[in-house]
Amino acid sequence: MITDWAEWLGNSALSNYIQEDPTAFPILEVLHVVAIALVVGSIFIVDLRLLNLCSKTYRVSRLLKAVLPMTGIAFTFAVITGFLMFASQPVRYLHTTPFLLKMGLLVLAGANMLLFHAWTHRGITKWDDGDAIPRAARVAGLVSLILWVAILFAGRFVGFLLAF
Amino acid sequence: MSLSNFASWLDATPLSTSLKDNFWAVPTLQSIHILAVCLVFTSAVVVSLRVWNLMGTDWNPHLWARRLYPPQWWALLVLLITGLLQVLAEPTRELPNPAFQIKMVGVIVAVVLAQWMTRQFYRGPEDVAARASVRLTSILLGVLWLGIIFAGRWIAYV
Repeated sequence: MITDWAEWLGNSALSNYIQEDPTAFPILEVLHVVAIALVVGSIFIVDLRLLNLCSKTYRVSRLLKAVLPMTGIAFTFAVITGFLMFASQPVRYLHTTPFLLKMGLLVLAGANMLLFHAWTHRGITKWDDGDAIPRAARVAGLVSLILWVAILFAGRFVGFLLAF
Repeated sequence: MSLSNFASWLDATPLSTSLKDNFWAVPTLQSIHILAVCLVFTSAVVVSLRVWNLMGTDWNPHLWARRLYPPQWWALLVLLITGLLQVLAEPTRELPNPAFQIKMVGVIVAVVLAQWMTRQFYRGPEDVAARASVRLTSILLGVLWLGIIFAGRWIAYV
């Protein structure tokens, strides 16, 4: 089913345009890198705070409010530009292992974030300004840090392998 | 020795050959390079947004600069090392490339501006962020890094 959809997408006018315009794909790549830089950079600020390594005098809840809107906007741009790059040759992407790995890691990063917000984040008022960040929050920060580094590597390998 | 001769000479050095022989070397270097770009670009954008009172107002701009600038300078060092190794791996593709050359000029200007910004926040009075020069340079620096990212990705297409 997903293969049918990929084939349909690959034959669409959108796909043809991205394939044929020589500047379309490189521009999408640049915008994707810029968006990712802000996604990963802003998430690192939060993760390192959760690990109690940096920004210790910034209340965790306030830091989340300050940084996460930027993460959200940048992530939306990353998804749009990522989808358009995928649309250029969807069947090939689906047959590229690092791409599948990246999608799997993104799902894990999303689950880690949802878990943090639905569960750990609830009692945040108790540990908001102190050093005693609960283990669950520290783990969420560490897992997020590792996953986003892995997502970034996987993403570059997708581009590298598809260039051949 | 012309630039293309130098690139060819570099291309034949044992280190360049070993980087080329190792299939994963270049994409691994590129990934580390992009990871460092995340730190540098985010630092520039966050400090600029803070200077313009658009985010993170629980901290004054000095605290933000002192939080983000030290890792930014380490990231710039990582960018230099991984960048040099990428040039070494593919000198004939990089050195004569106009996108690469434009990028290098941009990097020099950006590092000078970043150094100036760092100096303002470390030595200046607490209200340094209210100065027009600091506020405008923060935007200029963000736009410059944007252009540098653009030129860097364009190396692959020129």
